[in-house]
Amino acid sequence: MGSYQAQADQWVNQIMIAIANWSTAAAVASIQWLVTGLGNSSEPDLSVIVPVYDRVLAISLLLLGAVMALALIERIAWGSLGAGISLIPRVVAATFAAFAGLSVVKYVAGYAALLATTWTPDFKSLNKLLIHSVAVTDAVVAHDGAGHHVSTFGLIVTAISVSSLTVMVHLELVVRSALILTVTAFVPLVCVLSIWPRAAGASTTLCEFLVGLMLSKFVVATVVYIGFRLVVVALTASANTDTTENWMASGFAVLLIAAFAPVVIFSALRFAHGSAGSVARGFAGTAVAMAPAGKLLGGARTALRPLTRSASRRITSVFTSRIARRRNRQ
Amino acid sequence: MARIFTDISVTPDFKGLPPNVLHGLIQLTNNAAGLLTLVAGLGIVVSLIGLVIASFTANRELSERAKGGITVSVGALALLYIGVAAANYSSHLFGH
Repeated sequence: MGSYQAQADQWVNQIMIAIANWSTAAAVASIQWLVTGLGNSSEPDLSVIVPVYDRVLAISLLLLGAVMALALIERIAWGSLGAGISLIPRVVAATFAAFAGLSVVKYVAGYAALLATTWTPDFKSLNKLLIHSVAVTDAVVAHDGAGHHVSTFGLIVTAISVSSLTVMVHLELVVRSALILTVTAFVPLVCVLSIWPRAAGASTTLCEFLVGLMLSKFVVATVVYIGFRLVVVALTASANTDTTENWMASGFAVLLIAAFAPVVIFSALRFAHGSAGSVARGFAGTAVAMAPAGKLLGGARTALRPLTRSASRRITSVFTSRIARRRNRQ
Repeated sequence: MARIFTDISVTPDFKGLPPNVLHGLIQLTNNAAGLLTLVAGLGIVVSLIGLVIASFTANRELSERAKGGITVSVGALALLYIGVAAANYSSHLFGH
């Protein structure tokens, strides 16, 4: 009896060790993938859009005269937001901005990418800490020793949340890169339009949107680091206390917010521009959300097909019998 | 910083535009300039009429406003020409 129990205990221990190791490996691999994604690999290659930019620049320069004329017409007609003598410096500034737009975007994007790699060494050290703690726990469990263990449940939840977060962040980074490339192509047009004071708001909005998009990577990296650090520190703490439980709960909450509800973060950080961040996240979120919804709807449709078929047959037979009765009466 | 700015060179690609788009945009700009000339001419005429009425009625305020109207109308035409010249100059300056 005693030997059976010992054997069962050993099996359970081995299963627990395997699950803990698998979860740790999944979490560490996800974080490594995330760190790689937060590097230069996800940055937009702006040299690709140079031909498009040249074409839009040509269109903008052709439209420049028309914009100037419209601004002057407004000045003559009702003079509220038309351009006066300030038109000349505005024209020179807009032309400079149209020519230098792509280089400026590339310059800012380079530093935004640099900023996003701030936490890379810290992510690596947290990964090492997690692996070391789980290895120590494995050794303790394998020898049936008493002492502090890293929670297997905590590791599983960490692995799931970090994996889903990594997928979401990667999708967001792809959408961010695409948005930067798309929006940058319109920079010359917006610069030329801003010669007219009435349309000057467009350039402000564009600048805010682009800066927000670029900084959104840094914001997401910071939020993920905060969440992951809280979780790892709580998991590897030498004793379970209320404080570590709070850290664990807060860490999971932060990771889940970063993965599924980043609008909360972007609405709080105005420099990250709510619309830019949420647009990138909205696209990624919709892409992920639509896939299971479509499958679910398809599955439900297939499952309900026998019922709907029989119902439609019944309804058809009722209608045909009534029509036949009326004809017979007539 | 200079390296980054010289890393990507940008030149307006007028030849890449389809001919109908090119002609359409030139026509649009010419039409806008024509409209401005028309409005400015109208402004000058209205201002002159105002000036004449002001001299008959000895209305000093109307006279000042009419003079301002003439200045704005003539100045707008001059500004358009100076603006186009400035745009051409700065295009050549920043294009190289």
